[in-house]
Amino acid sequence: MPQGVFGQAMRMLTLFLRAVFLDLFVLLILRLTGKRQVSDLQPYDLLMTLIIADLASTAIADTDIPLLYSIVPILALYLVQQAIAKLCLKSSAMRRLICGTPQILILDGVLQEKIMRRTNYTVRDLLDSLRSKDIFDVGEVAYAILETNGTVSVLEKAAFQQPSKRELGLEPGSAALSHLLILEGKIQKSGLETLHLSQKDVETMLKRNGLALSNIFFAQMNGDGELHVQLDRKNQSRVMCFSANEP
Amino acid sequence: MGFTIFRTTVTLLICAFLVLLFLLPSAILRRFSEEADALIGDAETALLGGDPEAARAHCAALKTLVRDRMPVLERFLNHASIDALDAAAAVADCAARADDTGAAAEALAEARSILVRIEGIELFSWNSLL
Repeated sequence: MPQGVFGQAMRMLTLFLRAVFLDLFVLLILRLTGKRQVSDLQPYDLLMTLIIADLASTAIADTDIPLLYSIVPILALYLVQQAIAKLCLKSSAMRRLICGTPQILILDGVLQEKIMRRTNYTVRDLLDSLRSKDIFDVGEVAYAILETNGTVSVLEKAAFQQPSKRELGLEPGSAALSHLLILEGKIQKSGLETLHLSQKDVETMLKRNGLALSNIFFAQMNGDGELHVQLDRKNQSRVMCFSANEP
Repeated sequence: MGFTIFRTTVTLLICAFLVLLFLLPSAILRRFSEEADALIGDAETALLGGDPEAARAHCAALKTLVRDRMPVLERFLNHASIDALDAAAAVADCAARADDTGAAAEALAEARSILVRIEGIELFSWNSLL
């Protein structure tokens, strides 16, 4: 029965291609919404993401359903989401209606029982959230705010806050970003461009320190010109730091 | 800035695509329904008028029409409905060729009811919306 076997293979191929197409389509739509992680999502965005996933899975599994039956509702949801996002940007009343407002759970060191009841946020939930921020004593907290995406922002009491370098009168140092220069023996062009370096500069730097590019697993340079290098497994994953400006 | 422009462009393209989808499939379906309905009517008239030759020709034309339009219709209609319509048209064609007037008339009635059902589901109306 070669025709039957071939027919079955074609059906499987159809399923495969529908899955690939819809996966790429959903990926594009989710990227266009601009959200990268679940923690970024407002409740409405999360709901929309779940509905999109459900709509896509329906057409993936059932070849009797035209792809348009999934694509049109997904596009409609995307347009509604974009419209709501625009409205929320323009109107704070709309933003409050759609996203809600942040709720103060601890005000000047006092737990706000009424608000906690209204938001169904228990003391245990609050203690969990504080612990995840390395705060193990609620007495250290001046303000805790339940944000609209469900996270809790905390302002510690002045006595428990970390002093800043400025308060301690220390040299602040640079606050520039570090950039990836080498990954698995390959120079990263984006890093070179950002740091205004050439491939030759990096090779010279490595040579000066007795290193070969092919032996490097990972190298990063910070704003002060310090190179953090980790060698590959063949070289015992040794870690070393040196300044790019050192002779 | 680049991403915002890209997103705005894509959003506008999506709007245009959706408007096209609201207009084009319904126009295609309406045209197909009119043609199929006319052929069913002609075949029924021929069967009732005792003209088996004309009935055979109209049933064959109906079957060909459904087969020809199937690939396009399946892009935006549930495949099961199109398959049912195709089956009804094929039965009508077979029965007409076998001079089985009763079976042919029954299959034509079935084809018409499927056509009405598809139109009811696919064409916009407040009933189908709710």
